[in-house]
Amino acid sequence: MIIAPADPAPPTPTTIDPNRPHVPPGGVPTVGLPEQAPTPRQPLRQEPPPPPPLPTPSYSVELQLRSAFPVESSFDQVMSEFGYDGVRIEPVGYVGVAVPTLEWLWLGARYGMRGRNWTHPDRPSAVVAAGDLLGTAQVRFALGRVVELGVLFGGGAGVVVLQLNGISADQVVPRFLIEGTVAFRIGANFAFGPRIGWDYFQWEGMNRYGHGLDIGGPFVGIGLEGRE
Amino acid sequence: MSHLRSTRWRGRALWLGLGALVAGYACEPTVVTRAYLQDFEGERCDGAPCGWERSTGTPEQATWVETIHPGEHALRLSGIVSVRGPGSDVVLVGPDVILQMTARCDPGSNLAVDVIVVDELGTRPLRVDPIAADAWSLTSVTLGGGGDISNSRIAAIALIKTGSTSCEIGEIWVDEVGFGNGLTCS
Repeated sequence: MIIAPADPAPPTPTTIDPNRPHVPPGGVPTVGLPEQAPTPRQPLRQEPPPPPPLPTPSYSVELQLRSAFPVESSFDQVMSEFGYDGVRIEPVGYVGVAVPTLEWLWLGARYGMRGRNWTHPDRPSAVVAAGDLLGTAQVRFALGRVVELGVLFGGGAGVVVLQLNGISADQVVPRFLIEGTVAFRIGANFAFGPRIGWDYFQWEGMNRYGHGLDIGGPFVGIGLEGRE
Repeated sequence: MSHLRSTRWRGRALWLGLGALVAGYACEPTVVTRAYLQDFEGERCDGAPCGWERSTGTPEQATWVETIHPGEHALRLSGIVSVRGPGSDVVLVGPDVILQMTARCDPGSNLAVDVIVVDELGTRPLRVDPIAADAWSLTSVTLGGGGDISNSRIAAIALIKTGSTSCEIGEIWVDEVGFGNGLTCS
């Protein structure tokens, strides 16, 4: 016996619930976009506020590597007459510390070493080496958060040791320095940048003929700073 | 046509310039053998460099002095004095031999150098008169010439100082030199 399915009962009219999706007669819900609430007026987009300037460090430690180009001195000339051949380019290294006493005025000290030589076809090379200790004052300004510019003045004393034919002679001499600084900050604790300047570092009257030796002169280099 | 001629001349000029450059480089003498070296830095005997002795003058007229540095010394000759120093065992081949000297003389003094050579013909001096300025300077003088010092050796060096003031001699050396590719250089 075949039992026929019963007819579905006709839907009874009910009240429409506005919160329910509309079901048409037949029971198939329609697919439709949900009603959107009216959007409130958006305020105009604002630029993010500039980040606060990096704080001035309490101190800075600097490692500086340079090449110096001493001018030809009377001692260079007489060494040439004695058969020596010298290259007037010096490697120079400094380590220094500076404390910003004001935001734009950094006071500090630095210690450095340098040297060069003269070769001779029949003898050991003549060598000059020097160390110096300087007090420094630097005027430094920040251009934004990354770039800083500075001018540094230094003064102090140096010791020059000149060895020739295995015999050394030394002399304490005055030192002066002027240096231009560009620093690029990397975060709050590091900076680096080029250095350019001029060193007064001369041994005058080094023998009875009055010869002088220059181991300063113009220089270029790079400085690496660690700050706290 | 004129363009072709211009290009040809430009090419010739280039070759001529290149040839002059090569010839100039070849005319720079290169040291073949250092036949003699006296730098007054060796051992001292009685306060003077060993092997040196006075021919004329007093001991005070020939002294060993410090010069441009405590490690650099010279022989100082004052007044009229002559000294004689040791020679060398190196045989000179010639013909291109130069004497070089680093020295200075106060105004009013002159210095002459006798390079005393010995060969199968005997011993003879080769006199040179280097110009010694008031300031330290390096002077080069051609020795002999014409092959007359071939197969000789330096038996001694004599320094003859005249004038009332002083001369200082820091270094004397004699080199056999060569010129590249055997070119004749004027």
